[in-house]
Amino acid sequence: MKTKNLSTPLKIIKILKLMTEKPVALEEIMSFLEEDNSFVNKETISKYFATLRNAGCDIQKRKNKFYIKYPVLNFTNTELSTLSILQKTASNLCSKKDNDEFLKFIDKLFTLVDKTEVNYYKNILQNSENKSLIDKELTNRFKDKIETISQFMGASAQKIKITYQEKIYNIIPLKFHYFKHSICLFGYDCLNKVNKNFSLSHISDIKQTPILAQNMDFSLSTTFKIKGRLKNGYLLKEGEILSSYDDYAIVTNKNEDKEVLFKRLLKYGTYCEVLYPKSDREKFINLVENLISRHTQNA
Amino acid sequence: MELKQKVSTTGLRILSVLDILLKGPASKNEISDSLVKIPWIKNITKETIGLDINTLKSAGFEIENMGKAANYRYKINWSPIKFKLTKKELSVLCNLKNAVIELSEPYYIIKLYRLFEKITQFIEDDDNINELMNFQYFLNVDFTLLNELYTLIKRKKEVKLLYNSPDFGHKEILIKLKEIKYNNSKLYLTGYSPNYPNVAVLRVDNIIQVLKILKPKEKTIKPKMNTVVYKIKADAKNKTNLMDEEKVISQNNNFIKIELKSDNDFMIIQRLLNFGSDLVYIKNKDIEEKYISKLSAIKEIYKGE
Repeated sequence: MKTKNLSTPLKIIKILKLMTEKPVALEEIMSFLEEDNSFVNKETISKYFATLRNAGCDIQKRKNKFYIKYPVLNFTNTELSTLSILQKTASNLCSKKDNDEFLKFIDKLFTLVDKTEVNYYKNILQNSENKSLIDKELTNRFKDKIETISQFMGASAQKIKITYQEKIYNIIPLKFHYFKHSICLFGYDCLNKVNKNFSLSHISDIKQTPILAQNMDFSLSTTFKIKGRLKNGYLLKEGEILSSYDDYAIVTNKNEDKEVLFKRLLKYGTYCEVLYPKSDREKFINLVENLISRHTQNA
Repeated sequence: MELKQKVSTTGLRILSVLDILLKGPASKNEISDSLVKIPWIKNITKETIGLDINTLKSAGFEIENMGKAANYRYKINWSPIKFKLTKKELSVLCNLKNAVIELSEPYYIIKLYRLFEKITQFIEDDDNINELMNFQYFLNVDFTLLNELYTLIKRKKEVKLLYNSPDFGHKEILIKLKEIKYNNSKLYLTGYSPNYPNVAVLRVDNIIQVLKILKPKEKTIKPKMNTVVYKIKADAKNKTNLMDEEKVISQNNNFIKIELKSDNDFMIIQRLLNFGSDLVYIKNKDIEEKYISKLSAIKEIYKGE
């Protein structure tokens, strides 16, 4: 059965869609259209390009590939200013490799933004009023550690051995936590099977191990019960699972650093009870008893 | 005006229709009015515009006619003009967003949320969009209401709020607005209220609406300001952000001495508990007693173990 050929406008829009996804060579465009039984020559494509250019697209050829800028995304000055703060923060906060990834995203984004807005954006990037949200001095202090650890994060995550406050830990680095005056590495402590924050200022040595990070589903979860007003207003944290019952709810927390979690649970007062595992329940009771004892003695 | 290059005039007209619709909903008449301003487009009829819209639909655009109430305007609900994010780009963007949520003021976080909302319309893959748009706590905040509260605070207003109390469900609260605070990744509205002995601290995501704006009474009885001094382990500063109300009085390699001024004892105790075992000393006896009493109540739950 003969398939109906695409109309010219439809072919132009298909080319536009293809080019906004990625830069393409002329041959790629031709074979892309052939999939719909539309056979076009170079001259016709040149006519389509002229049409797109007249409609406001900027098409440029670099190294045999065609790049398109199709200005359909209009930003307000406030939005561009917000983006510039994000870019400045990325340059201060991310490793060089990650910052390059961010800039690639900006390049992609700007293929859909009008030239005037892009120029305005370049100007406000120079503007000292739009400051980074994180201090350059802080990230500079830890730059080497961040660069080293970043290599072992993400898809090809690898276990690393760190010396932290004179102890050695085998960890899977997961992400960085940023504070106003410090940066912590959040990682999975393989020996104790818990996630933990490691302040970068106390990491004195980082060594690569040949072991690839594997699924961390075996990490120990903490289960606690919440009730009363806490149950009604509780907001789940990342990675938490909640089962609700009439008078109470059971929360299973897998991701949070235990120390941070226990501090949070202390604030919940009598509305919360640590249930499992037994070791966590005991640790929490110990924490409460130690605090009472410490401050009673002080009193 | 003649076009210098060889172009497809139909293609050009459809791209112009697309450009108009991408800027916002438009009726056939409005599209026609915009098209006549383009010199090389001639003889535009409503039927032609209808056909052009159908061509756009065949190209994958989801276009809806908004009906009589909206003057039969057409609106693009979904556009196939999108770009792809690589896994690495997505991960960098999400890490950056999470750092912003940890570090920034709510005002910027909201602006970033709005910006991402716009950008994600042009990003392929719903999973990527969901990950980018996960602004944690801020997903529960009604930004219009938040803006209204900011404005009312600036004008130092007294208001009647409808609040979804975790204890009592919906209730009306009369409050003289003081400020909005961002603490532990949550937003709180504080103010003076006859319903509360201390300063009222209400979680913004539990506020349903402003029911009434009242003229502030001449005198507001403000609760007493308490100044608390305490010592934390020096390392604690690496794992938490100090609050604006906290002032470092002195510090050495082992300890940091902090002064906190607050008119809300409940918040003070919450803050002290949040330091966990990093809190080593509380100078104020009354606060220390309240702190111990809260811990003792927790201990009671585990009685017998």
